[in-house]
Amino acid sequence: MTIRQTGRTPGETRELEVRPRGGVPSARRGPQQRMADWVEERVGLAAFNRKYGRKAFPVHTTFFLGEMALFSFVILVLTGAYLGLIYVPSSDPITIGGEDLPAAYASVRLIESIPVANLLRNVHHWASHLMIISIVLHSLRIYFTGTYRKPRELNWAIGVVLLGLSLMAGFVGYSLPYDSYAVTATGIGYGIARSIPFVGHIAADLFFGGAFPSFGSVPRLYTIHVFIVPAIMTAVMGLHLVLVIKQKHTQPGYARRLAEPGKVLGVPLWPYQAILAGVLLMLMFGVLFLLGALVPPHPLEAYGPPGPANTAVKPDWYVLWIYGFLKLIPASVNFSVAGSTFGPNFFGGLVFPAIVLGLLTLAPWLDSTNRKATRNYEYLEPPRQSPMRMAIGTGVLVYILMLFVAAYYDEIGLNVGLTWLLTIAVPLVTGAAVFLWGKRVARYREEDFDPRTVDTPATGDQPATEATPAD
Amino acid sequence: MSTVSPNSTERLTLEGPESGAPEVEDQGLVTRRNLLKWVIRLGYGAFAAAFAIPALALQSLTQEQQVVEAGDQLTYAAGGQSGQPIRAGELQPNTAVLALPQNKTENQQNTVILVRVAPGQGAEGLVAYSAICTHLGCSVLGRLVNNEIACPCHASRFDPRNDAAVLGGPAPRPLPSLPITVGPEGVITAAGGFNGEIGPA
Repeated sequence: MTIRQTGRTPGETRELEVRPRGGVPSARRGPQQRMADWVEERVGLAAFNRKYGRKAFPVHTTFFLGEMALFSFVILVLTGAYLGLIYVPSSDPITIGGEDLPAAYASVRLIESIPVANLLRNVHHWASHLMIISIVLHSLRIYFTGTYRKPRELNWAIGVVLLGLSLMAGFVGYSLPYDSYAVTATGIGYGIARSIPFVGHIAADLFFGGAFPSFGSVPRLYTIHVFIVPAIMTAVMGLHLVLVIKQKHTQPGYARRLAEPGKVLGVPLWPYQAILAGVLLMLMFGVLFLLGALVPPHPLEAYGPPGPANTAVKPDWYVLWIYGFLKLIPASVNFSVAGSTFGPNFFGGLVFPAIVLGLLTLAPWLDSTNRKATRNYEYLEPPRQSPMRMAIGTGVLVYILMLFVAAYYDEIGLNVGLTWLLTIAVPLVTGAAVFLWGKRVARYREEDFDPRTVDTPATGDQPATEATPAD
Repeated sequence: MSTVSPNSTERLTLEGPESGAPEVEDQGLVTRRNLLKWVIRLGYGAFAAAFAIPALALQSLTQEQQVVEAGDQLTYAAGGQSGQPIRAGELQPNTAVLALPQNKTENQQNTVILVRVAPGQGAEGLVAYSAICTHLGCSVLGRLVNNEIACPCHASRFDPRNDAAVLGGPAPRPLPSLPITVGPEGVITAAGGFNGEIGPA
């Protein structure tokens, strides 16, 4: 087959080997080919295929993380559409078996009672986790290999927006089953939204459809969950992918040995990458259905319909770090400006996550190697090549993990002071240790990663035989 | 065209040397171009307003809720006796129970935690506070933990013997208290409304 080398400048695309195309008289073709010819004459997909179907995709395990996030989104849309056919977005009480239940709760109980619907609900649940895990791992890979730098700063920032939107979609989704857990968790979200100075009441009432829980709440949150956030995400994802096509993929380190500098090495989108992606999608479906069948999320009965009695509610891991911080922040972080309160809920529930996501967005501009960049960064760097980046990344990760611990501090016998000390000291010590270790093992030579530097391939093998595992 | 700076070659090639529009525009005259620009801006503005006005109108969907007031009888809020009146004698010392005012159980902001403390305090040793945590509006546990009122959400703790003062955790202020009286046969009734704002301010 062909190996693709694509130039960095638009239009400078060439194929090392051109596959024969056409040339068969149409009389010898079967009905399917004739039909394809008929469509081709009218639509002209061959030109489209030549331009985009031949896009080169590097083959490397970590390059599938973004695709996993995209496919999780597709699975969420498919399973969500099915669930939406049964779900009733209303908290109005209806009587079922002599019991007054909110309609939303009753409809989710109906979903639970239909085996296939229940399975798809569980798949929906796990796909949301898989999507956020994929996005987190995708961004970690990009962070630790330094590929958020020039020219991909904007696409990095767009990726952080997608992470934020996924967290929001996940959290809003909590409210829909409308069990006691859902109402308590969403009530906390409402309390946080209300804590915004000056505009909190308006913002919270707009987002939660009145003072939560109100009869306006479920339709509002349902529309946000199934339409508004996914529609925005689709648009932003489209932008993310267009930029990947425009700027081309970064290259795994091995590409430097196999392709000329400045050339992109990989398998073409059609058919090889499409086959790999199809296998990945099937694999994800398989894993999610197994998870859905064997590890179901909490059934409605676990918490029951919303009521005055409250069981301990902790959010899932992807918002647990905010929860942990909310638990740590003292009530004394509280002051008034012009008659409006800036309280701990505002700082813990909104300002703190905004700072975390904001710093993440700004990573390309905080990285001094990028600020001084004189070239594009097209090759992945081994993480240890930049001890400072590795130390900061590890430190922040450990901090988030320590906030998970903070979320449980009262249950594992810690007090607030000690928890504060641990959440700050452990990441600092870990970061410093990683930095010192990185300094010892770093072997950074700029010319190793500068695409303008030409060196000879390490072995005498033909690039084509090594670079195309799908062949 | 003598005013064109050396850097504006792109503009020259785009608009051509015969175009006099930029110079006229700078004088603030109503040219066809200026007018069209304002029409387009107005169009964008109308488009934005067409979204903003309905968006702001969305907030008016808040339900009116019945709040607890003097004379409301307290009933069990949860468990097997849910809805039945609570008798003072049914509560052991240093225990608590969640209560709701009779006929106003739809509004869960009315949830009350009823605690039996030392006989000298409250109404025959009984005190009642709002069960809605002042931190983020979770409902506190319907039992005492180490003789304290505890919120399961973010570990706020309140002292039932001292007007529900905050003992720990992120809650900014005490739980509002509800004045109660104990009538004949131990029936507990509210003697007024809560003495403060319920839940997070």
